[in-house]
Amino acid sequence: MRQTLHILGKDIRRLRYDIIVTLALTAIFAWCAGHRSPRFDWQTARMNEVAELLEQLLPVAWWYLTARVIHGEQLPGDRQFWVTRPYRWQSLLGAKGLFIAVFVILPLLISDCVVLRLQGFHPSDLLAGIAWYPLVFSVVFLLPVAALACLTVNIAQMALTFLAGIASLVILALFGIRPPTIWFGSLDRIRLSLLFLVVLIGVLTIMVLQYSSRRTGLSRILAGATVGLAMMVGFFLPWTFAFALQSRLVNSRVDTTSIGVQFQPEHRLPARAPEYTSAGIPIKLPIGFPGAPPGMTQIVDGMAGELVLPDGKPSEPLHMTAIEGMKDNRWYVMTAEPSLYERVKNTPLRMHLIVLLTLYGNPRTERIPLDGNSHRVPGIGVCATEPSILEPEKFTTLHCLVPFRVPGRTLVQFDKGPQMTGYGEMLNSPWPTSIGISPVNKAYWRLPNQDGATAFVFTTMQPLVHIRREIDIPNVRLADYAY
Amino acid sequence: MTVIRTCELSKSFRHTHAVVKLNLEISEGSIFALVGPNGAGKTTAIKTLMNILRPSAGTAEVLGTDSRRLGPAEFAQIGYVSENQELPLWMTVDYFMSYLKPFYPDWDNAWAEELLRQLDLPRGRRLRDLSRGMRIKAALASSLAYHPKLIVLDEPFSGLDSLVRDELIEALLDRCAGATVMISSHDLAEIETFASHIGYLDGGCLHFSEEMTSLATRFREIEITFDEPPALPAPWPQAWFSPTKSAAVLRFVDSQFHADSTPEEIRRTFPSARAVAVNPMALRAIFVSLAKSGHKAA
Repeated sequence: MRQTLHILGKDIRRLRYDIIVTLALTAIFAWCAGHRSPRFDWQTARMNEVAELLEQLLPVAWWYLTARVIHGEQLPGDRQFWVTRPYRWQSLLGAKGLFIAVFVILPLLISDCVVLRLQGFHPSDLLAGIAWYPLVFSVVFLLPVAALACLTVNIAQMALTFLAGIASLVILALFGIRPPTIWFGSLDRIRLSLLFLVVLIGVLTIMVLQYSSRRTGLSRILAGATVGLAMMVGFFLPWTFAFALQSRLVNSRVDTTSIGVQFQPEHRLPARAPEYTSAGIPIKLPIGFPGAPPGMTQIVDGMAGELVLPDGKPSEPLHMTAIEGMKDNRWYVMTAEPSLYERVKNTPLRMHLIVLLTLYGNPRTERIPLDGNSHRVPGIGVCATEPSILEPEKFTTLHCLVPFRVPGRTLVQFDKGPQMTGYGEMLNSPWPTSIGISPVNKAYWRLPNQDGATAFVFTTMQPLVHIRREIDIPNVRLADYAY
Repeated sequence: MTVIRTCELSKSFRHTHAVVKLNLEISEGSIFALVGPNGAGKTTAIKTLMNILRPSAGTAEVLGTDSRRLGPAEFAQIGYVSENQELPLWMTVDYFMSYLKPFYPDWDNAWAEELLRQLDLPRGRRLRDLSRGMRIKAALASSLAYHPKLIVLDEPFSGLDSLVRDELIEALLDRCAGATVMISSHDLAEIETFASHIGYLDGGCLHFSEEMTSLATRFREIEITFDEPPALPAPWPQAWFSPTKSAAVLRFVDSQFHADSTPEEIRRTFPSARAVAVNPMALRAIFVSLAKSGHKAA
């Protein structure tokens, strides 16, 4: 420990000016983000701008500081003076970790608490988010950069490597290799969580290997393997696997036997010539889910189907690419490959669908008066209403500052008038925090004005259980549903 | 006691064989000079010994420890200075010394002070503002202040003026009594003045390794004068190399000179010789001859 502190002291001395600048930026960010207003406000607009600018700048400052401290005892190469000095690798790694903890993570945590406090939240009420935040922040923002710094000799080489990585992704995207668009709801968070787990294991292995034995060649191969594996998870992870994993993580006793899946051809959209998109032909299937227990609602996380072709063989799988019908999620868009569509569009075929649902319940309702003032909304954050800036006579906007993450499912409506409903974030994160720099996220909902309305009504629901359902639909003609 | 021992030690970089089956032993208390032309593999050999590079094959032991396992305990007894070492240039000389001090249980403050004074190092100046020679001196001072058992110097005199070289050598000799020194250099004139043992490395191969006195004794330049231009005998003795003829004079280098037997062998080989002169050789002359001969006679 003594050697760790000794090296830390040296790093502090070397990087004192960088530390001062980074801490100053963090402090300014905390002050500005703490004085953000939930609604548009000329008085705080400048603070908002500065906070948003610093949200972009601070990661760069932290990356720079992280890279600088690691490059202080550069690991690749054979000319560094320290490699033949009695450094214990554990002490060196510990010193670098301590430096990052003290000058990046701790100031950020303090900044978070200041922001939360200035925004009227009590950090003691948000301990899960505060405790979880450093881990998410480290895995997403710091550790990959630290690992990259362990494999490079200076900032320039590191930046070039980073740019080369970005260029590779762009080239892959040009060849059509990119993250799939068939992920919905909380499944995407499962995919991201697995991706971060791969990154975490990879970068920790690289760092320990580099510090313990400085085997840069092997570590670079490991880094390549980590990137490859992360891309495999990000691009090719089967969504059914993610759903199975998600289901295992939830331990709920809700009886779901009454929930069915029903093909509802009576809700078919009027026929029209289909649009040929780059992904294929959109097929809008009207599907309903009767039987949800009272006070509960379901969200489709994913849907896949296949057609039984005239020769009796299954078609290539069709994946859900969108949900349409804001009020009741009536149409589920599957995308058919054009040649398949052209081949079978007028043939009645049997379609087999697999549907993955998340059931939401435990509704909590809160009212936010339309008085323009900020109101604290339990379970959400601090909210305020105002006429929409662009069309004040037509719309009202509800702005909220939400600590750490937006609730799983949020329904917003006026207390009077037709049930015009806006949906909040439908991505239910399994973790207590979202990914981001600020501990307070902005969320807003815009609804058409209603005469006589005096308040917004917020209904938040929590995910209870994940369900898999299958259905066989006979005699489906794709041409009837192409749109 | 053997401080450094290598067994078939090899280091390759892809298709380049930098060190090839190096077998070397350096005894405690000796000053071992590893010499050879540029690109001979001296630096690679030393870096492999210091666990900066991993050997491709073979083994090396330093202070009784496998070189691949050299760690803090061993490095606390080793002083390593290299011509191309990257020092923390932002540090002042004083801070550099005080930073390194806690790493070494045997750090000797008084000795460190003495080294700084003797080497005339400007304490408050940053390493980045020092000349190359001064930086080497700072590195040397920081590597001697804890009485290392083994001092490894990789081309420490390269590019330094003669005054600085003398200061370094003086500091080394004055301050390292009892320590084992391994020094690589192609500055043969300097090495000759203080090395007790010498090894000649070229093309990654160690051509010989022996005591300096032995080397100085067995290498002689032979000059034979004839009445008329001589014919070279066939086969030409393997220990004699770099033969040159000019009119009636033949010169060559004998790598196995014995005061008792060599004159007799010369007379037997060249019965028409009118005069034979046997001249001792400076280290530099020996290595120039070896380099020209392709080292076959070494």
